Amino acid sequence: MAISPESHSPSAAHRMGVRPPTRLIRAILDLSKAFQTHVGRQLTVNSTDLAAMEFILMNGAMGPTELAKRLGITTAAVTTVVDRLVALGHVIRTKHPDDRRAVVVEATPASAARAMATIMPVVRAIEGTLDDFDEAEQAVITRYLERVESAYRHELPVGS
Amino acid sequence: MDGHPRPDFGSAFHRALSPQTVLMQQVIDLNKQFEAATSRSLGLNATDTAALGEVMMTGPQSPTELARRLQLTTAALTTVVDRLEASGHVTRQQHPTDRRGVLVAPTEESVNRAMRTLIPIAQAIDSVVDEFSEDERTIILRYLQSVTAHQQQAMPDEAPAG
Repeated sequence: MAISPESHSPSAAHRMGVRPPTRLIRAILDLSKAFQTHVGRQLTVNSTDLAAMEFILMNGAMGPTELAKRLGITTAAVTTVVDRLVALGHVIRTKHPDDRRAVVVEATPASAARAMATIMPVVRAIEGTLDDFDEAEQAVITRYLERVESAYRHELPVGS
Repeated sequence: MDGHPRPDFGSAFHRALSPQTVLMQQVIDLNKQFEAATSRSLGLNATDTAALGEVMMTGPQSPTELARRLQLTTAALTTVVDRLEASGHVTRQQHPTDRRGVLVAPTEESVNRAMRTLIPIAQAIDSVVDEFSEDERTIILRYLQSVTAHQQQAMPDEAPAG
């Protein structure tokens, strides 16, 4: 999916009259979404399945109820999602180590490795861009990103 | 995140990276949470949201194309489009050149609603720029340009079908 920050959703950013850094943040967010769809395609899963995979990969094994809550779907729907991911070999259901009556959903090592192999090059590339900046410049970047992050947190609806 | 039985990639991931990259990742995650919350408030699940996002970003497209992009069977996609059509988010239009063909397009109202959700957050982020001097803005811009350039390079160059 070849998308340039200029051609991609320019109308939205322009109509809002925001400045170049904000437009670039938007482009970064859109590009990560396009990339996420690509990862989904690599793993041959749809968006809901991928979102489930992501939560499990990033946060570790979790129970179906918690997963359903995070995805905003019913526990019945999450069963279907997990069944599909199990069938594809992406996750397994195992016993909770502390509560033997509970089940947790866990990523399989092969699937986790595959997802990481797709994601890590991009993360490393982003990390590599910092080499072009000295310490004082990196401090400015940190301050900017911290402020963007808190602006986001502030706008986020409570309880999500 | 406490009480998770297994070590997660999230923390391993964060330990290996510089604060800027972690912050950037957090912004991306917050955006995802924000969109998920918005979708929930509209009664859409992740797949419906992805489909709607796709037609908003890429433009009207055939169900076959949309199914391919979203990794759905055409049967599953039909259900998604039916749901989005019933809730007034998309319409099925006749293809302008292929009279047997159909295009899925977002409704004007749905586009406007998306804009109304995005505007406050865009403005909040934009006002952060005011806190920085001209010189500092140049540094920030250079960093963000570099990030997008690397993201684009990492993206497999699939020609957007259409």
